[in-house]
Amino acid sequence: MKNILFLSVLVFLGISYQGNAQEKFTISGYIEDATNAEKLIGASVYVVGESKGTNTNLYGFYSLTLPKDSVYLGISYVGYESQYYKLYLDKDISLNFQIKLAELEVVEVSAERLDRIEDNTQMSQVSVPIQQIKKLPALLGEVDVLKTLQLLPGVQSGGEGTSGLYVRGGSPDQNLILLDGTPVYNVSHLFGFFSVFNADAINKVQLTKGGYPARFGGRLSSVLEINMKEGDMKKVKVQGTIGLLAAKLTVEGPIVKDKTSFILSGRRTYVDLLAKPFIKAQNTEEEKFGGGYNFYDINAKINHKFSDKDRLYASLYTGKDKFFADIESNRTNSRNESRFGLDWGNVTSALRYNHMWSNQLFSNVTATYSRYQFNTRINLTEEDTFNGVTESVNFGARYISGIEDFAAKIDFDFLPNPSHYIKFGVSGTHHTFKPGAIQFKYEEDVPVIDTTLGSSNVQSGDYAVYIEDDIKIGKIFKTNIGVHASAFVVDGKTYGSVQPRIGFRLMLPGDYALKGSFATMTQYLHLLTNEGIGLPTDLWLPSTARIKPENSWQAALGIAKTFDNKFEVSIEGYYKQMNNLLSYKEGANFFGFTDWQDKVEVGKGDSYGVELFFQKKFGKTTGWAGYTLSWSNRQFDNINGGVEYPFKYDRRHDISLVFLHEFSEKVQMSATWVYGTGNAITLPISKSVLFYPNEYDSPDFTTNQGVYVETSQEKNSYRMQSYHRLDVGIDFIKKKKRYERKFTIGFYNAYNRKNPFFIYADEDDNGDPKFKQFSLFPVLPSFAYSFKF
Amino acid sequence: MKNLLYILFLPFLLAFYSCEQIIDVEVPVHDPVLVLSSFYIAGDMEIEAILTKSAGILTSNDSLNIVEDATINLYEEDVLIYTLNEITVGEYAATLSAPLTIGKEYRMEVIKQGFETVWATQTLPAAVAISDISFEEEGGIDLEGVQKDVIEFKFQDQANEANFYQAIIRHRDRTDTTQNWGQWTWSLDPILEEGWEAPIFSDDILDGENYKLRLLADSRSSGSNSNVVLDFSVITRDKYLLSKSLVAQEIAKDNPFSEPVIVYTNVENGQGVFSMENRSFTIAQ
Repeated sequence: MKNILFLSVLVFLGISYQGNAQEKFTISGYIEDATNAEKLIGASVYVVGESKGTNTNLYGFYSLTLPKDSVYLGISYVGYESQYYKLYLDKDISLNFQIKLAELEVVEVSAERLDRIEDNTQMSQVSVPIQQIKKLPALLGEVDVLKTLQLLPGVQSGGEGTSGLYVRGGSPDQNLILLDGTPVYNVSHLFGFFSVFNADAINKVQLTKGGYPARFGGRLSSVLEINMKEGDMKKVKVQGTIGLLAAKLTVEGPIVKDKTSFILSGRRTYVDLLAKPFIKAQNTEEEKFGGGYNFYDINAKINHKFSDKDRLYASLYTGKDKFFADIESNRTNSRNESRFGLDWGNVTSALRYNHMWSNQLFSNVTATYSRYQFNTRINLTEEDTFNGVTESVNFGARYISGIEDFAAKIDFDFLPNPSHYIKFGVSGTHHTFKPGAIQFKYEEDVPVIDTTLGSSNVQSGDYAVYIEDDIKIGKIFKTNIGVHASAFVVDGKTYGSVQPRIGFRLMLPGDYALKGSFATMTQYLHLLTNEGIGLPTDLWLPSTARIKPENSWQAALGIAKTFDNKFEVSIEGYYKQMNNLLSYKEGANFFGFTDWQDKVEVGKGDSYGVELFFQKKFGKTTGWAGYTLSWSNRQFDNINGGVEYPFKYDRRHDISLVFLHEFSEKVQMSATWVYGTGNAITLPISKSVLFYPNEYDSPDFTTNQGVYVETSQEKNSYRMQSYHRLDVGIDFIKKKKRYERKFTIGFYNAYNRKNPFFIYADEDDNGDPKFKQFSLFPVLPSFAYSFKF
Repeated sequence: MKNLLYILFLPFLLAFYSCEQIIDVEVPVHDPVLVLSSFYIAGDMEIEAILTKSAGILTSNDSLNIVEDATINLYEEDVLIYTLNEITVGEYAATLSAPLTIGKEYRMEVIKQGFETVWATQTLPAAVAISDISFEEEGGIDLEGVQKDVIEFKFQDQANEANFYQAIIRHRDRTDTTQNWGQWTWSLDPILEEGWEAPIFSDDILDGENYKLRLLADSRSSGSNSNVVLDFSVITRDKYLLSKSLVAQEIAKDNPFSEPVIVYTNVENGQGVFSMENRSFTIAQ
């Protein structure tokens, strides 16, 4: 603590000194897209010919303090035409810039722009332009943000087709996924095959895998920031897509031109509607079947500009998956009804208020609400009639779990001079955990049982405060120093954590940037989940007096450089240590009456590796290539005899190639190829018969029963076959005067690779025991029709 | 429009109908090991063991793989006290001159040519005192609404040591007391865990307590000539873990997404279990 105070004083003195050394003034404002006034996040504002500049924050705000003098400003952003502005700086001024999307032929790449990889202190961070995400081939044509992120080095998918993210050996619950600053607890539609994020409503996607700045906390492995579009300030626009699986429609536009805008986007599957006739065809006079599956999601946002200094954003996301199956049979004197239902979904909403206190101080106040709920229910009814008297039996069971958050926070950006970018803030979250309750109802004409069993709701408070400073020392050295302190209060127990964060960038000869970072993280929330597929049976649980918070530290070192102002190349090595990880005990599952704390094991894990990333962002041909060499292990005292074992998604080699090419304005092509070492699984290797005392049929305890036992090798010591897959897509675009339409044809798994999904024991045609491999998706064609006007 | 939607949906349906691909998988070669099954109950005048061997998972052999002509020795505190005789094929037993001693450590060792020597050790646990037992015929209802007998009792857990228990209700013939028929037994008390054959639990959260346990059990048929007997065992940690892992394996068996469960063994160089327990029988009604 003493050191932190000393450091703070030093920083303050440094800021004060620089502030008084020479007369300085500040240019500040917002950078927007010229066509729709959408704020551009991470755009660079720099002094042409000098290494002075800054980047816009999440709200498109920038501030640049410079000595009194003539200034030649450059404004640039990936995919946009650069803009230049001359002025004589002799007072603080506000300047808002609107820049245009670039035509491909005229993309200008300035060597001085500040959004190059070597300019930032931050390492282990990638943002993928949403336009690029929408061009990539997708499973069944459904564009998926999370699946695109799986193509980045250090990020792995779980099972075939699923959207879970395994970042640097961490598990999906260790990712802080923020939609407009609000945590989203379950990101899966259709049992994990699609994510809940509708690409048409998204403006920016940024993933931080390590070197976390102090403003982030609460998860061990990554921070994924997804920002929704704000809505066009200039004119009403409509876009939509009809695909194999779902249709979506987005409307955006001004409510009051250049002052208030909105965006409303909805997506729904029609699997249930299409399947209805097939299900109906099964009906007979005695039996009627019903059932289906659907999901929907809605994104809505309103953005109001009170003045250049004050803005308000209100955003909402709601989505739900619903699966149901009904069977009703009517026979003489007897009627049976079985109804099964499963639904899960999120609601998130955020109210954010920006205020520019001065040209150097910007604040954002956020109030958020987030809820995830999972329900499953079964209802059975049986009615029998004897001699005109009807007797009925009803049985109902319902399982409910979820998490609900109310949160508030205030964040400040303070830019006293070009050498310092200080961020600080404070936040508080009230969590309500519903760790799983089972409601039973049993009636035989009159209620016999009507009870609720299971764990009761748990309330907790989660508080954090942070400060960080991105400091530029001379022309070659930058550092980001910060500290994130947090506290978690649950059931009278308080956990506290002080998490130092540091990152640096040192320019080496030849414009190579050497970057390093060290970050500690603490996670107070735990997720108990089935790792195999994205079942919605996720149980979010708090740290308790018995179950301590998870914590980690991660160190990373890397080199980055932009070649020819076109190709970004980076190589990073990392080591991450994780403690107090949770796992279900062997054979335990989410159902049952025992306290969840009795179902889990507590252990630790580590991961380390090297990531290589090559990216081309400009021109007719764009894309990237990523390679990861990594190890990830787990150790639990009561699993695998306490011996360390490979994490299920430990992947030694992971390669992804992403290629996009625009043949013309009318035809675009994209392809992705992925390769990964097979998942680590545990296979039974031997079988035997154990004789166990028979307690039921044994009058004198001497008889034993033979129990067939399979014995496995060490946990996760068998590797499934490697995974590789090629996806391709072609867009045919037609631009008319008033509208544009696009027809997309895609092929998922184009060369029909039989990738392993799971392995199971079976017999061959001769009755001999065999292991067989189940592969999920063969080559899958997809079609989508999109329009916008 | 309706037709268009069906045309669009057709490839989706075809894709999912044709998604299963079956491929042979090579697994590592397995060298068979000895599998020992021996469960001793305090007070017994005989100790038994059954010996089998493991086989590779892909071996086309469904036999029990009984192992004959092995030498099985029983050591008390490292002193050889009995060698078990093979009484039938693969089944070995020794008649004891006196029951084994509570609190002493026993080691069972199996020697068989062509296999590594295997062994396991156990300490015979002491019984616990049962008190305040009561019985209520059909006094409870299970989760399916079926009425069950209720047996309540107290037992004294030994403090500062890890203890493991098994509880089962039996219907014991009044005239022939060797006829002890185990009944389905359960409790809504969350300390009870599902075990193989009978519920089990540990004293993790009741260390040293005089704990009151309420059990539900199947009711006797009307006119039955039997007593309701509480069969309460102090089992070793090894039997507790074996029982749990057998249940876990059964649950995981048909779930392709479940991690295979490793069935617990305390047999060094082999598989199976050598277990000891101390049972007490208390008539509830």
